[in-house]
Amino acid sequence: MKAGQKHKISRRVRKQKVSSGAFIAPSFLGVLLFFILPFIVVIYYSMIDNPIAGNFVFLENFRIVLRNAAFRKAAGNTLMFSAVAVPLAVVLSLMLAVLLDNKIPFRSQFRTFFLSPMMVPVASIVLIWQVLFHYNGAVNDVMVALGGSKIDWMKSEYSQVVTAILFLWKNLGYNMILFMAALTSIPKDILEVARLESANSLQTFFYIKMRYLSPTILFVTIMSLINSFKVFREVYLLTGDRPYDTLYMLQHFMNNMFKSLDYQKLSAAAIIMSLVMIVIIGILFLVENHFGKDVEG
Amino acid sequence: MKVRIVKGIALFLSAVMMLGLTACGSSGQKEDRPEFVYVPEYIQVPQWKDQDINVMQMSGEKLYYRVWAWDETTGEGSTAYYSLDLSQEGIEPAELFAGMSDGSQDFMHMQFDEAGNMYAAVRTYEEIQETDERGNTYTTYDYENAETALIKYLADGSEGFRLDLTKMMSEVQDEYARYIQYMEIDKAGNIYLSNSESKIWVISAEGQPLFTLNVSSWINGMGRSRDGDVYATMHDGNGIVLKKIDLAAKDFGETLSGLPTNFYGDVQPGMTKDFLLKGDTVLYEYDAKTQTYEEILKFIECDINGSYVQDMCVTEDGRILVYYSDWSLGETEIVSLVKTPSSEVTEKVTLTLGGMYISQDIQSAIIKFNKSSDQYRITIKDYSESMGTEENAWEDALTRMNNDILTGNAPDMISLDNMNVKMLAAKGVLEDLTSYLESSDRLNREDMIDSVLKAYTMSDTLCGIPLTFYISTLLSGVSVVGEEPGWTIDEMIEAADQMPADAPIMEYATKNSMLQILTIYGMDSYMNWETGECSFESEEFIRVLEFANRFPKERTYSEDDPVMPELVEQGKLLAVDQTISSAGDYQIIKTIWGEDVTCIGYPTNSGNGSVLQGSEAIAISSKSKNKDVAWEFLEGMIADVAEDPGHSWGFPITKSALEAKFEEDMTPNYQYDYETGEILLDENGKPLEYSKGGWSFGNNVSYDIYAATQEEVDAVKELIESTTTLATVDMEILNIIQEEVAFYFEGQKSAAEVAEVIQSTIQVYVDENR
Amino acid sequence: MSGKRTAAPARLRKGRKKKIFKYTSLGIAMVTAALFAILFLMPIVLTITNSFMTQSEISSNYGSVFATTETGGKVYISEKINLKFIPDMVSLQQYITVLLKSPEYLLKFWNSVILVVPIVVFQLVIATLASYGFMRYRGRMREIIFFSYIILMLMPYQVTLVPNYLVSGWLNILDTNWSIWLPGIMSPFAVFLLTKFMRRIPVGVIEAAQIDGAGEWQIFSKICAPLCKGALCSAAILVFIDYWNMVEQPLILLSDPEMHPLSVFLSKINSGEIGLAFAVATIYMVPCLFVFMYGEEYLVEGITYQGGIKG
Repeated sequence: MKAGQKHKISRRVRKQKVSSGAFIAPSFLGVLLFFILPFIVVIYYSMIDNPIAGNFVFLENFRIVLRNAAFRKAAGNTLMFSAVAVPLAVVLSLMLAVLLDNKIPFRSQFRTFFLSPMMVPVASIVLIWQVLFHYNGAVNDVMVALGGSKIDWMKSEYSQVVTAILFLWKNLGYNMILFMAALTSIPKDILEVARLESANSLQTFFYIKMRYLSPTILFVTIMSLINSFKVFREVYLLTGDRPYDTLYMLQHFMNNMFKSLDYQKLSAAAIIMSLVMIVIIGILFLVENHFGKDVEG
Repeated sequence: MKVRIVKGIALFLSAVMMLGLTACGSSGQKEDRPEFVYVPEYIQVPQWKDQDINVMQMSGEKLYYRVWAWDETTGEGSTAYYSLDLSQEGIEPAELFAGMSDGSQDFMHMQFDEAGNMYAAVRTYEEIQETDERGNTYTTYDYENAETALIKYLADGSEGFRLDLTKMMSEVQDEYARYIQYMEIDKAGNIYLSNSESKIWVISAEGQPLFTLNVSSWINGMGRSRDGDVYATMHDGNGIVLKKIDLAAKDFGETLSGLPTNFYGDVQPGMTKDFLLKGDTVLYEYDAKTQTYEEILKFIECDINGSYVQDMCVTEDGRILVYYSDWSLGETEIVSLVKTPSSEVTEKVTLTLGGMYISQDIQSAIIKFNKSSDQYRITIKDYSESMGTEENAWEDALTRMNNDILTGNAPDMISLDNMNVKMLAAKGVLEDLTSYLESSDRLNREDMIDSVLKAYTMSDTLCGIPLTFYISTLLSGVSVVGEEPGWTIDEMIEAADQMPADAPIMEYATKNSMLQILTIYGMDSYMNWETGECSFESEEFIRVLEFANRFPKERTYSEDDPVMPELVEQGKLLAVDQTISSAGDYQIIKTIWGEDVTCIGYPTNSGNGSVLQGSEAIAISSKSKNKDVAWEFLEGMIADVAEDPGHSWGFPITKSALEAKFEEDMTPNYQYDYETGEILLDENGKPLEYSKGGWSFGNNVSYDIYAATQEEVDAVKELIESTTTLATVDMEILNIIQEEVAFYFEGQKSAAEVAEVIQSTIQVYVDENR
Repeated sequence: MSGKRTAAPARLRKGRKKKIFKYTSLGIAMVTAALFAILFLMPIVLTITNSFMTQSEISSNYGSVFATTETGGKVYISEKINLKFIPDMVSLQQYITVLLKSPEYLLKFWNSVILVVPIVVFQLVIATLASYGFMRYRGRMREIIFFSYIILMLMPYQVTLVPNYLVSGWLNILDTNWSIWLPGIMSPFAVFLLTKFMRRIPVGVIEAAQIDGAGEWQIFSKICAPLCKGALCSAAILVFIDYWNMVEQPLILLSDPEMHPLSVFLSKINSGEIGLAFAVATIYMVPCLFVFMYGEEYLVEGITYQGGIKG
């Protein structure tokens, strides 16, 4: 009897495995065709001397790219940007969410306002940033009026700051919504208990809310990471393919490699980038698993 | 409610996808073979042989043309007008009017209506008698006070009406614009005249002026719709539009937009839709209701060079008649394009010639090749063609080409015009032509000018051969720069510092142009591709910036400005920036300088500083499957020009043709006495020469070119032989510098600040390419 | 959902001091939120008010921003750029030109609709199926696939550009809408979003259904899919916004500019067209606005579950 039951269960598991596979199949086949196959093509390109001759050179391109000063600069800048902008995007949006979690008037209006940058077309954004941060733009006018001196925002160390502001402006609202939702889904009884035990609001926040927010933090971090790559479009339209060197991102490197038909270098750079991504996201997953466990089901 | 919405969405979606499917189906076919093609058939008009023909109009399947004949016995010319019915074959031309003199008359524009009446805008001049220096009187015309009239000639040659346009035309301020450029007749017989600039005059069928329309922009053309209404093409703020001329409202009626980007104004009645729009390379049909267009055919696929199409019309049985004359091939033809199912046409092996611009000469050569080959066919893929006007459009077009190259779909041949040849050669995109050239029947490797081949050899690859070439350089007098060609940036600045304080140094020198001359080929002073080191922050580069900053910001033109020869005479020019495309160019500069000149070149650390530029060089793609066929085309095109350079601009690329050209340059055009046949002499007893051309500057300064001396020819020859660098400019670097340096030139930043930004940006660029 | 959230926790008596503190902190919160809101709204307000300027006013204000040099470089802007919110004269000129005189903008708008709507709908259909699959069984293989979905999502377009072009070429869908549709529909983005949500559905619910004899398809279509409605809506909004703003894919895969969506036009405005850009941009934002207005509640709700407790 027992043995039969076990057999039944494993058969059910297998059946489940097969049928759930059927559900995944359309998506997987599509991803295979339009995402994985292209990625394999990228791997192929990364191991040939150039796309026209197509001689196999194995890891030579990786060696070239890793030793290339431009790639190093790009990778460093990108890492730097993500390391600063992504945590900022997470923390600031969390703060905004906590702010709106207070029952202030016009809450839902504010929420919509904060989301609105998502729908502004690229041209308007570029125009506005251009008008604001150009050497002869509005921000410098204010600086001069306040007795300061002009700063060339897009062509100095400040260019990363301007880009970070642009990135935050575009993505804070979205992240905030994610956090607001997470905040409201924290079980009310636990918060009540904490309050009765006269925990102050800071304690409540760090000891209880943060626990429940940890899966959302991971989610928001990954989304912000994705979006931090997308901000390149605006940067590109603002600065062209040759920005000031602190703003020189991996995408600039790849873009310029494409233009000079160095597709093998582009591919190698892309693979190095994805390897780093795999490590970073893997770590994030591990961290989340560690912290999120005790609040799960 | 919700269900209904969901159902609605589902319906909409399936409709969209179906649309997509059909679109996919049709364009999927387009990739391979279209359903129909237009096959050219040539209409022979026997009368046309050896006659001076001027086709004027094609409409209603009739061709109207003018024949100008010279009568040997009387020594007088005569004009006759003919019509030819093209609806049937083998119909003889019918003579319409004959013997209409246009001695004192200038027929500005003529148009025929369906009945065969001719409407002509005629300018009539008074005859006046004048006397020349030798006392001979001759007849000329009073061009100042011309009378303009619109005359209707009935089919029998008699005059229908005559309307004096002189007063009407005088409304136009600019005298040069008092000209009838376009004429069109609507279905009711009303006549529309336009001077192509600002006016449209409408005249009734009876010859009475109806009204005048004023336009603020240029009128690009006029034409009839299928319904017989007349529309004008012009620019409004957002691009080219068609505007209906509304008779009832005496104003412009509806405005039609959404026209193709490469359409410039040539409108004809359509076949099934309202209009045929002729683009440079493509014929479109346009629907006025939906304001959309559709491609009908690509001219080159019908063996027609679209740019040389003079007129066209549609017949009732759906043929398209095209009259074109291709000057580069010397062909004038009437082609009937017959819509034929693709299956009935034998398929040829197709080669593509791609590029960012395909010149007219190349297109004509392709047509010639296609007509003669029954196995192969060359098609054009001009990546810049579908390019819009938006920012980055050029780069998007380049991206599409790069995509094709990277995915192994590179065109078989690549036109090197506007192309980064150096990069393409370095990446192995281009086939080495050396062995093809060596085994060629029509081209002799030994006869090719070595410096041209050397200039086009990059990364050990002879990547292209131009049809002709020329040399760009700086020239200056020996007393100014010495005899040795070539100088560095520092040497040039030093020499400039010796000039008087008010000297402009270079003609029309501005901050930007000076910086460009200094840096265009002299960048090697500040960067080392081998080690990847850049030194744009150095004192030397800042000195270059400061030097360039001494010059005016913008060019200012004034009638009173001294012209170049005057500046040279005053010793205020350091050098002139000149294109040398013939011995004459060199001779003029030498004459202006009044002493021997040195081709000192652009400042650089290597070579003589002069650069060679080729015209219409074509490369073969290393991935092409039909390299031999591609070479056959290339060889034919190059050999045709080399064997008969004719009037093509620039130096020929073979030694023999160049020698022949120099020979001709050195042969004087003596003036002969008509009666005795003796060479005329001047007061000093030297033979008088006719000039071979010349240059004129403002302020009545002009120079003529006479026979070249052996020394002059030798100097040009030496320049050619020593110039082995192709003029490839690294636009990236120029752009980086220009963009940033503007802040310095505007006084917003210091030279050092600007240099720092330039250094950091170029450093990244150099690093990328290592 | 929103009703529940606004329901206040049980109020206890508080001292006056605490109340004052509460009001001041509320005030500070209000001011901060308002300040942020102004910053966030500025571009939209600017776009809309500028759309009522005449074309000549626009070009005189910003014309130089988009000008380029002959060689394609960016132009130095010497004159001051005027950031103006209020038009000198309110004019409908831009709208009249865009809506009545130049149908090409409407055509591009229609192109946008045709490209985006099928992607949103079918990506969601496929993603719902897939996320159900990922939820039902969590083997190592699935985890790897799921992880790789995230990595693939992170690839910048420069990387996938050539391979996509190549694959489209192989499938013979280059220069057709399919070259945009198919990769869009198959994009792993919605799978990532929805799986996070699906895994939250209590196992008990599904097991109960199983005991009642429901098959996989029934569990999916009768229980899990309806439970996901909120998440689907939010995913739809995000996917819609993402593709409504797409620029690179059409540029590369559709060589015919006639097929390009409005977003491509709006990403490359030059000085000649800037006079119309604001009206076009405003029209362009309308669908987004509608999607936001109708979907905002769902957006919060949907993500609530995704971000919330993982099951």
